[in-house]
Amino acid sequence: MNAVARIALRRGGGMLVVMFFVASVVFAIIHIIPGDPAGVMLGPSATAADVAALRARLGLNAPLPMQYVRFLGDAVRLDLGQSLFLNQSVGAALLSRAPVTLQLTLMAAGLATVLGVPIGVLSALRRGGWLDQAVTVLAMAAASLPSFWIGLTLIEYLSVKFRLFPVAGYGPPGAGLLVHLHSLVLPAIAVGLPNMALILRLTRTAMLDVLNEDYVRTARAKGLPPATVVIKHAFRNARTAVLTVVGVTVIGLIGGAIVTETVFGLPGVGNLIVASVLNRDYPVIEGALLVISGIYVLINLATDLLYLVLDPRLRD
Amino acid sequence: MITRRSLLASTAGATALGARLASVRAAPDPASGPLNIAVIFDPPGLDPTVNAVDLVSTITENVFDTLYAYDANWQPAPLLAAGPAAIADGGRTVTIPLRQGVPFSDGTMMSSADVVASLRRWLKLSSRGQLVAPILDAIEAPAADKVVFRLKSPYPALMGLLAFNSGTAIVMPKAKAEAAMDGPIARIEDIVGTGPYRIAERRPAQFILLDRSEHFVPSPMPPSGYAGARTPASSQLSFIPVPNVNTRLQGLISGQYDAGMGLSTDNYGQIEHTPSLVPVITKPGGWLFLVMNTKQGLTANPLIRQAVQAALDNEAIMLAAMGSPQFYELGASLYPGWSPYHSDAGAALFNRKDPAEAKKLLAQANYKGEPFRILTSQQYDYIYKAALVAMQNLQAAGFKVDLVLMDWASVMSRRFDPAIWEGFVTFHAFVPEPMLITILSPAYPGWWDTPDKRQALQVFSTATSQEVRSQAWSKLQNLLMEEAPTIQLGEYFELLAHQKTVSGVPAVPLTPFWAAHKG
Repeated sequence: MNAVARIALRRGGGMLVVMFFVASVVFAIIHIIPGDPAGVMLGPSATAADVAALRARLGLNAPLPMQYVRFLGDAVRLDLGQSLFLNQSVGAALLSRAPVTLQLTLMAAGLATVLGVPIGVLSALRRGGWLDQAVTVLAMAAASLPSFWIGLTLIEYLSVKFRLFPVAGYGPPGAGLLVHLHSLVLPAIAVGLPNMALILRLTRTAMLDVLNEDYVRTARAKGLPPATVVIKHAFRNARTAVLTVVGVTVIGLIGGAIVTETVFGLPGVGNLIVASVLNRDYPVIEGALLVISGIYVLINLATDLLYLVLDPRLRD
Repeated sequence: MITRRSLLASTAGATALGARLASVRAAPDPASGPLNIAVIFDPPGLDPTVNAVDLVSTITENVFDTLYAYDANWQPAPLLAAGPAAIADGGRTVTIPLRQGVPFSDGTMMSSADVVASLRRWLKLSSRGQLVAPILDAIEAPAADKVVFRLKSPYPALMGLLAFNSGTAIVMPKAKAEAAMDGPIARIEDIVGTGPYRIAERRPAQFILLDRSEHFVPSPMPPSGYAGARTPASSQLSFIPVPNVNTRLQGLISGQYDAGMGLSTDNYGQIEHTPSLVPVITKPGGWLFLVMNTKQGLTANPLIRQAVQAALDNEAIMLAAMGSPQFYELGASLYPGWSPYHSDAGAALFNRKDPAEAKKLLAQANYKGEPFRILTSQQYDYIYKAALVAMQNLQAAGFKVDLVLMDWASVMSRRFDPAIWEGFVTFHAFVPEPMLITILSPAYPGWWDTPDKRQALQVFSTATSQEVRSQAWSKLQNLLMEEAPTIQLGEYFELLAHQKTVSGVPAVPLTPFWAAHKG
């Protein structure tokens, strides 16, 4: 069995353990915290008797261990249950929201990577120069600013003042893909900018480590063109470190989407989770967090497998 | 039982509602595009009978009609009913005539059987309907053009409950009412009413789109408040959830939204100075209450509650909560001057801001420094600020106060446990019928249930003339002030705004949008 298959199998088993742990912890937490979907549905005028009656009608009165076992059993069969509020299955709710979050994540990751990696490389090559110092300061500023503040500032200027982008939402009813993507530009910038700063800084550090190595000095001494030295020799050896931070960034973007989707009123998975927590839509909370934890583990696994592809030494 | 004649004979003048609605005329314009209305959150459902949440009522009052609705004078007026109810048998028999030829949005015609099935559902599932259920013998449809309530005892508040658009007595087709007898209406296709609009599409977290109902037949009565002809002025209404209040405001300023609800009162100045926008302050307002636990613990002692009442500075609380005197009013009376329930009973006990008096009462109560736990949430900014100032007032009077912070769903749940709190701050929407005030129910957290209260409530709930009702309410309000189970902190008003190019948005709570249009 080759290294890739070995790692995939080992990590696959670990993934199941992680997801079981996450499912159990989430189940426990949401049933411990106060609040009740029946109470949310009925509103503040409801009495305890009203809430109890609706809980019974919604089937929320089964003993917790029974609910837990039922939840786990259904999850194994890939049945995440039925939302208490949306009149659709949790799976359908997630699938209907996933494209928005996926588009946002890809746009933000693309922005962060396409800008962060080349600027990080340039910054390392011009170490100590004015470009490097300017980039360092801007990167620290971008990494320090909270994404919701960036979002609100972008709205103020680019949406309200200059009317270049919509303030919020995913487009009017019947809008096409281009309109949807247009509405994601500002959110992608808001959530991508701090991550771009992180990728930039780590790329710079990784490149600086490599640029001092003997083989890079040898490549220069052989008279190779500077671009060849940087791309074929230096960056090729720094890319595993860059890959690590890109993988971590994508994971972080999924979490960051929660705040950004709320600020921009986007109908993504993050917004779904926030609404479900506020409404105590238990099946959606459990199902969404289970799926997200699975995605996190898969991204980590993909990153590890890519290491093997990029660095044959690791296959031993 | 109150009849329309006796109400009309009252000396209540034209109300703020009437003045605000006087200029609102539906101007049907087939060319008017969708009206985009930004709202605070995605509603937890679209069933106003079960979901007694203001936003659900605001959206669905465009879809469902009721037998009666509140007119410009805040009196129940016919909507699906053909006229006032006929009262007989000492108030035990209430016969409601029905309009004929009223279609549902699916094209089927409303019948008395539909009304009976809908009311049975309301009696079972609505917190308002459940007030009536214990005294109901039967509800029947003896003919196609009437329904009859047979009551065990007179219930003067019945018309008010039927007219109120929260926990609403909606009318829907019999088959759909019977299919949803056990819980909220689940499918969009089953949300079928006789109103000017129908729900065309709901995309969670994106929009709730209402189309003008092609079958709609308006009431023959002229528009008055929520009653009378509800002629749809826009071809479509789109309610768009925008949870972030700043985003909602920016969307209005940029022109993306035609109207925006639930705006922060802190933004009033900015809205006023934005040439394209019109701010709207809705009145009458709701009440901010500090509800106290009379069932057990520290506040089961009336002296402690009276000490709280003496200590509070209502002006400071409401100013902190609402940000500007434009957005609140102070007064002992729960009801404004134009209401038959306006009363100054107990006024001497209101807003005393007297920590010395509070300390005396605490000494009499032998207070030993037990914590006064106030449940509150930052999810509603004005509630949190009110709780903060109340805490300071109480501390100045010698109370040891713990502010227990949690999200709103937790507050709603935790308030049912009398062991863990002494007070919680909450909002209560304006209700024109006092029997709808939740704190009067002994089952409502706070659990106010003394012999004097029971007797006063019994007198009020069975009084059949308006004069006797008003006097009985005055006594009940006085008792509320003396026993202080709940402190009314003040009346608060809400802020919404719309584009200058939009008209037909009345400045009333649960703002109806059927008459709103662009141009």
